[in-house]
This record gives sequence, C-alpha cells and structure tokens, in this order.
Amino acid sequence: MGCYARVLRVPGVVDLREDVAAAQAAPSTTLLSRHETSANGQRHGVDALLRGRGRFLSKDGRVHLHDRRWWALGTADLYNADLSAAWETEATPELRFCDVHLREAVEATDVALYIASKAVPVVNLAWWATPSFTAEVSYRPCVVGASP
Amino acid sequence: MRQAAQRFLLTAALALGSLLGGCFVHQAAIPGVVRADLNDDDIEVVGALDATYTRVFFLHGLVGETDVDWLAARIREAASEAGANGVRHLRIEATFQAWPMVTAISTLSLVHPRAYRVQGELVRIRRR
Repeated sequence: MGCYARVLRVPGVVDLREDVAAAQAAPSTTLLSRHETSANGQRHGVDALLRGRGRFLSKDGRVHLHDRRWWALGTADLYNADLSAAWETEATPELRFCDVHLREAVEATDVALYIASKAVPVVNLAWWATPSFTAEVSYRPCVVGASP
Repeated sequence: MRQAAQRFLLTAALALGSLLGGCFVHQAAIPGVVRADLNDDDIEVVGALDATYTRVFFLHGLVGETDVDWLAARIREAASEAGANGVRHLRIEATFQAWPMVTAISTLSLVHPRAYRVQGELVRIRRR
C-alpha cells in the first residue's frame, strides 16, 4: 500500500484507432446542452474549497471534473468525492470523450489550506490530514461524424 | 526566535513556489477517444495491461517531469504489441509507494518519485 493513493477508472473503452479519433466532431447544441445540464455538479463555497470545484465548463468548451482529496496519515481517505463515479455519470452511448487530460497537483489552494490549518489551534491537529491533493479530468465532448 | 524565523522563511518559500508553479503538477493525456457505446459483442479481449511507471519530481515537486503524452505513448505501445486497438476498464492508480517514500523522506523531499500503475484489458474493437 502506498501513500496519497488515488485511483481513477476510465469509463467504457479507450478507442485507439486513428481514423476513429479523426472522425469525431463537436456535438450538436441540443446534445451538448442536454449533456451539460444532465450532470451539473459544480460545487461552491466551502464545499468547493474542501472538495474541489466539481464539474465545470471552461471557456474553450472543455468539461472539467475537479476533485480535492484528503487522507489521514497519507493513507485513509477522508471526506472525498469519487472522481471516477463523477466521470461515469457523464458517459452516455451517444457522447464520446475526446482529448482527455488527467491532471494531479498540489495547487495553491492546497498549500493555503495547509498553512491555514497551522494557524488554528484545534485545526492544527489536522496536520495528519494534510496536505490535500487535487486531481482533475478534462475532456472535449464529441460525437461520431456530423452532429446528430 | 531564530528557529521560528527559519520555519517562517521555509514555509514562505514553499508557499511562494507553490503559488507560482504548484507542487507535483503532473499531467497525462489519455490516447484516442473514450466511448461508452460498445457492448461485449463489439470487442474481443486480446491481453492485459498491467504496468507501473515512476515519475520523478524534485524540490517538493516544484520541478519534475512534464511530458503530457508519456501515458498515451505507453498505452499505445502496449496495445500495439498485443495487436489491440483499444483498452477496456482502464484504471490508473497514482501513489507514493514504500521505496519512493523512503527516498522522499531521506532527501527531505528533494527527490520525490510518484508511481503510476496502469491496468486494463487490451481489446480489439470490431465496431466503428
């Protein structure tokens, strides 16, 4: 067993064929809006601070699943959302995930939370639960060929 | 007093470095297209993928390996060797394993390896 372990399960099948990848197109507005509203899971406020922003869209049209993860003594999960489950709910037969990127980091917020936990006497006990790690899956929604 | 000042400076330096660049920023691209429309009849399992790759970071992860396509290249290579054109149940586990932890602790996190275990079924996809 290792420390600060994070498991990501990719939903469905990764199709490696070059011609299949080349045949992908941007989804229709209807499909895209249905996709965007069907699993709208952006987090706000303290919840976003502690568990990450959840699902959000960037200006370039990419969907981001942003997750902050905590461990006790670097091994036991604490108050964590399941990034794999969040991604799984995004998967539908009609939609594909193109240009998928995984990102893992100790972000500025993670560092700030760590420093902040040092300043508060009781929370200072949380040293064993820090630092947090942030992970993110981002993808471009796409479909086969022309938009349906 | 001097110890407190040293601790403050160390924390400030780490915080500044992290705020500027972030620690352990690690990125990887998944190759091809991820799709959820395939049934068991559409694919044939031709092998298994189970490999562990280590990425090394330095200075609390402020400096490290940055090649985004490293994972995609390895998955494609493994699939090609098995005659596969896809991967099902792809699972990626990132962790600090025992020996990397020893390395990190013994070097005060100057050298911090993180292991990435990649597992899945190598498949041949029949359907477009």
